[in-house]
Amino acid sequence: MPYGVVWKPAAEEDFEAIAALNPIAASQVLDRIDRLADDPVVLARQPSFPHPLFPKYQFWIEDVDDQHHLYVTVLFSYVQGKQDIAIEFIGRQLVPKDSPLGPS
Amino acid sequence: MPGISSTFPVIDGQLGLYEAQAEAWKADHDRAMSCLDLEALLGFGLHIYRSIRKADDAWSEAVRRLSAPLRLEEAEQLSRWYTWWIKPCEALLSEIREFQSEGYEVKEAAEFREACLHVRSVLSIPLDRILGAANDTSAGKPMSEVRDALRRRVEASR
Repeated sequence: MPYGVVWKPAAEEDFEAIAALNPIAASQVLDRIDRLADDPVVLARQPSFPHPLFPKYQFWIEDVDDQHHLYVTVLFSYVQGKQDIAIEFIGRQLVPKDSPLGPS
Repeated sequence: MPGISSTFPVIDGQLGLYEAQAEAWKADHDRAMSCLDLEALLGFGLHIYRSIRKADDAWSEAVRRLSAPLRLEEAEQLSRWYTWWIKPCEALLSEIREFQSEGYEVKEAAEFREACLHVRSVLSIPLDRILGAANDTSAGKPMSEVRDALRRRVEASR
């Protein structure tokens, strides 16, 4: 059963930063979070550093501008007593397209 | 639970050695060291990376199981280790690319790249912001409001 999604203020700030960079990429981030909400237990990684209580969901947004891909790390939590996840933080890395770290 | 520094005492020493070897590699680069030397250095780096991950997993599980409190000191220690580990990575990734462009197959190159990406990703959100989140008891904004705000931003930019 899908989960509802709520956004914590820090995650909203992080999302605003992505939207300022590229609104289309931000829209893709929302699509991926919708996908996460369909099955967070399967899609997320076990919590670990930087926060041992927040599972991670990581994905690429390709071609975020002429020179970069974007690697996104979503940290979230399960809301007690509800079928909801709370988006806590969104980390982002701009990776140059010619970097060996880019999506394969 | 004892602190992770005392549970994993060798990591600091290994990181120092790893950094020194990576520095020496740069200095010796003109002498055309072999791909085997690079593979040995990557293997050493990955060994330390796995040790840090092991410490990270032990800390995370202890906090989740409530057998240890969530303490800033532990998180800062992991942050220091990851930050230290990532320092030589850019140079080593360049070396991997150089050897591969010459036709060499560099063992564990894919694992090393994945480790670099993982470490950068976990360091991409400042620790002080994250650990302060425990104090945030707000209910949060619904997804629909976030989506509407983005839609308004896109329309305004047209």
